[in-house]
Amino acid sequence: MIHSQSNKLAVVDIASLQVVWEFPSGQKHGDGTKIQLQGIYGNPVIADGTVYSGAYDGWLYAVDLASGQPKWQDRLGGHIIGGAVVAGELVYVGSSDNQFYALDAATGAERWHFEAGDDIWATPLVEGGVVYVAAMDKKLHALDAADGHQLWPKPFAAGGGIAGTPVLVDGTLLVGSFDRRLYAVDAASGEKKWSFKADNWFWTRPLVEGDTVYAGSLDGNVYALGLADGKPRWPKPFDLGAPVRAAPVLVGDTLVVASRSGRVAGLNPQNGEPVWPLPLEVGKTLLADPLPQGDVVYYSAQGGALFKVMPKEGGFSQLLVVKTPTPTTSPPPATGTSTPTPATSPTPSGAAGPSPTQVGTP
Amino acid sequence: MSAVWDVVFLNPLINALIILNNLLFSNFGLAIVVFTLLMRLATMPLTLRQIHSTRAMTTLQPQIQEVQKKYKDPKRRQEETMKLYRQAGVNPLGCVLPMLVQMPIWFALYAALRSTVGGTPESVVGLSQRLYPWTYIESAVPLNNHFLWLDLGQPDHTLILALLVGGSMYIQQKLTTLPSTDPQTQARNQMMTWMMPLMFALFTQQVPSGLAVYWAMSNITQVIMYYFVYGPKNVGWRTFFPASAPAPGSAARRRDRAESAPAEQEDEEPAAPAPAKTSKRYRDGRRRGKRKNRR
Repeated sequence: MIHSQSNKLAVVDIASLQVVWEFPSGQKHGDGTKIQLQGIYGNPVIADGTVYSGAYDGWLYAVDLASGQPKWQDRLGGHIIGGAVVAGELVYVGSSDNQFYALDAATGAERWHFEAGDDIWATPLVEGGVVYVAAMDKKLHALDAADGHQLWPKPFAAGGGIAGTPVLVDGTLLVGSFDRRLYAVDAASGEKKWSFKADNWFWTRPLVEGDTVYAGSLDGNVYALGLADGKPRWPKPFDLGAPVRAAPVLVGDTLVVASRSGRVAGLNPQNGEPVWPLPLEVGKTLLADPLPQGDVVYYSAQGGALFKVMPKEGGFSQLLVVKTPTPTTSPPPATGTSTPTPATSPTPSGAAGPSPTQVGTP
Repeated sequence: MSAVWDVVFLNPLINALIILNNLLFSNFGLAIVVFTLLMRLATMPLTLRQIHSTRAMTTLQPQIQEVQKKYKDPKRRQEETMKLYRQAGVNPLGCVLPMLVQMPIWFALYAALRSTVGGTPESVVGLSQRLYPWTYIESAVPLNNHFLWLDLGQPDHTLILALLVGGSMYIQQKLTTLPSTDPQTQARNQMMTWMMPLMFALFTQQVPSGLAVYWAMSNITQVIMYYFVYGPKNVGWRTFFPASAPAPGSAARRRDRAESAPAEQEDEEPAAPAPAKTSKRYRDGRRRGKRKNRR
């Protein structure tokens, strides 16, 4: 699992909860300055034995999955907030310098770039040779993945900035905006199908299951809407009491949702009723999208704490990730007798943390 | 209490700041500068009152010390001190009350800036809870954090802003802190005059530069305000050097004058201390001219 802690990317062995490697660990840029990520917001992505991750320091890093050594690093023009996506030979990522980049995944060489009217904070969506790029210029752009030319006659225009990652289901794109609306957009034409207005911004990546769209809003509610018409499916939205940025996930029959305040709830996806007696309070800020794996869900909290939520039991545990002992610094601890050093502090300034990424799942 | 604070002070300031940002070509740095200026102008009557009162109180210090020496009974001492204040037309609360009234405004402004200059995703999530549901305001997010050479959400790693903050604060401190006749107070004042700017210069290297822009602008505005209120006589360059501190002799002379005509003290306040005169003395109070005469 790729995890972010103490301003570093870390590969964690989920069975032993030991850090296999961390990046950076003393590496430098080409000019000799030390690599300091300053925070990782977008999900790292793994393809062909390489971990790709943008960082708030404005660099996109390609790190060897086996060794943790950088293969290449590219300085883009601004902070990188969204995650990168790899498709074919290219890696795609947006930046706060208004530019969207398509780079050679093997070398980092730029193949093409596209200029939006404002920052790009959203992770792009690449489907069927098309890259969907949402930007703070209030627009959703459809670009040819090969050369970056625009495919729609005009980009889809929302009423506010778009920071959430779009989702494509049956020819319909779903994307939230800072104008408090969740939009359904025709993927072929870029025309609006419907929109739903909440009491605050939509920043989550929506989840589509069957004919229902689930999306959390910064107004603290989780909404269930009809995919075809955008009409509410539940008698009332589920109120988590604090902004919802983390994407909802479905594990078995339970819809798991989390708020910024660290409250995690399990809901019946049919009616929005809680299935656990009480919501869980993990006590940490949860903003990153979770990683469902089997019948559990992993949440990476701001500051680097890692939680495992078990929807069946309605419980959770905080995972104590420990650094792999190195002979140069300390002798290997005897199993079961040592006190592992928590690697989850100190809190990196400003790091919301990406969602954990499962190794082997690009 | 927190909710009241947010609704009454913090949220209106944040929204006003963003409206200003939109009016000023989406330049958030410029919005901070203009906003600080406007807030300083809005609170100017209170600030002036505070400065006047502080100066008046400081000028009365020699007489107050005299009273304290003269009367051992605390009750009598207090009565005489209050009498002194009355005669000089000084309200002892005059330097505290305006400051107390202004404090919530400055705390709120500081908090508003902290909420807006972050520029990071998590700070924007926080900001979403404070914005009014008006498209004009919400469409400004994310704010343009670039101003001159600065990323307003990040500390300035050059020394320019630190020097600007420290320098402007030193000048401001020098102008508003009047010399005291008590050597201990004088030494403390002098230390504070250096320590505070130094501390803020160091803070500048740690906090988002947007906050440091506010500090610098706030200091500069107050210096300008002071200049126009008290005139160039009190804001000469010599004021800013330690050698220009008035010698005990000059303070004693003012004390003599004050004792003879306490009611006139306040009228004289803007002119005292006179840096031009004191600069002609050594720090121990000897006149420079005397040395020449001895030759």
